[in-house]
Amino acid sequence: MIGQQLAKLVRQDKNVPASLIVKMLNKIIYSGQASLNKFILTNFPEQIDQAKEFEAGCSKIAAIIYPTSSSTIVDIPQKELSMFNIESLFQKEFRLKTMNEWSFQLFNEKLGNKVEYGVLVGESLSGKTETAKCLSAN
Amino acid sequence: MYFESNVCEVTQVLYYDVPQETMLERCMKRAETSGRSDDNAETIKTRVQNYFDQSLPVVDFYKKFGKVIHINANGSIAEVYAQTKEGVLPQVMFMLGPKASGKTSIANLMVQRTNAKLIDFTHFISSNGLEGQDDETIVTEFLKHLGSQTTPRLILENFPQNQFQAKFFLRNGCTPSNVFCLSCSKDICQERMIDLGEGHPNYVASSILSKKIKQFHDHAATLLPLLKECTNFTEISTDQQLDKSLETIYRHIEPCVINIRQGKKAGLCQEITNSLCENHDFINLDV
Repeated sequence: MIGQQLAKLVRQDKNVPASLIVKMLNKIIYSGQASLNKFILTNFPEQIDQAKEFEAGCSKIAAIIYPTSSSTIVDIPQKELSMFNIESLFQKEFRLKTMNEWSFQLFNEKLGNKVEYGVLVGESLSGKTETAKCLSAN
Repeated sequence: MYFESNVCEVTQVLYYDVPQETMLERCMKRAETSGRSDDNAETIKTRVQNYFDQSLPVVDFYKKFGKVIHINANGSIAEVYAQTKEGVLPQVMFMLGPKASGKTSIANLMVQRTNAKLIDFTHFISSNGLEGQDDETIVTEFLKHLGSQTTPRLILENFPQNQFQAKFFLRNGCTPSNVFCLSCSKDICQERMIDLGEGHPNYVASSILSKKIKQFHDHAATLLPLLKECTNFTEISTDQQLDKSLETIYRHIEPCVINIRQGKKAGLCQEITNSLCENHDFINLDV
């Protein structure tokens, strides 16, 4: 079991290889429940190799969200800048998105999503509410 | 943890969610006829409280691993049963297309990347001696077979083969999360078959290939409109290179995965994570 392998490595204070982490994440992300389809990765990937391993073995990372004090400038500290820096890779591929304040609409725009909506009209008691409930649940 | 270490991995957790008041109400109703001495208001309240204190954290634990199937148990028995049936069946995808359109090659690559298992319907029929049986019998057996699978995701290749099989499956099984129909010109199919070579087990002569392609299109005339109407249907051209077709398929099945860095604005990372998880159904995978 992947979990047991991971636990063993952690107990032994050894480095956990990215391939094992990706295998574990793969099982969670593709758990077979279609409704679970939005994920935030925290504390992983930290290096370009890990990001590449994840994208090859699991899923594309839609974006890296980078909180910043300015909406236009990515102020990555100088000491973190290197060719192995994950932010620089995503910046090069236009997948580094900065945010200087939280707004879901802005977040959606940054991800290239647009809010889809429909208009439900009908006579009184024609079943509008029930239909809307079904649409919203599914 | 003790169970997982000593017995086996838990693959799914069915969580029947119901308000505490309904729980108490149901238990009290059962107490009227159960004849159990411990079915009284005091004990039932303690039992319910124990559930919230001790059992619910187990559900929260498995939620982190995406293993919890949430079932709204507030409805009627039939409604709860329908949700349970849907919950225990694996997530399925249909992979259709004429012979030599690239179904097996594409599905095998999807299997590796998306934690899925490939089941070829034509192979299922032949290996279970179901040739010549009626569609209802075949699909019933197929559903039983799918119910016994432990893999959470299945790619069903060459299924359904006709409209009846599709209707029967949708009514008695579940709705597939995706249906991919590969389209490919006859010339390209012929070329791929020539590339395979006569020694390959999947090789068929040109005349037989034409017949099989025609057979697929004959059934597709009634099958595809039904699938387009009732399912999440996508037609993919496989005239292009395989990785291009695969890229299109991944765009349809891959989830939205994002990474939030600590950045330069204190607290904003946490605020974004909390808001996305609490209000927009994101799951935080903290490695």
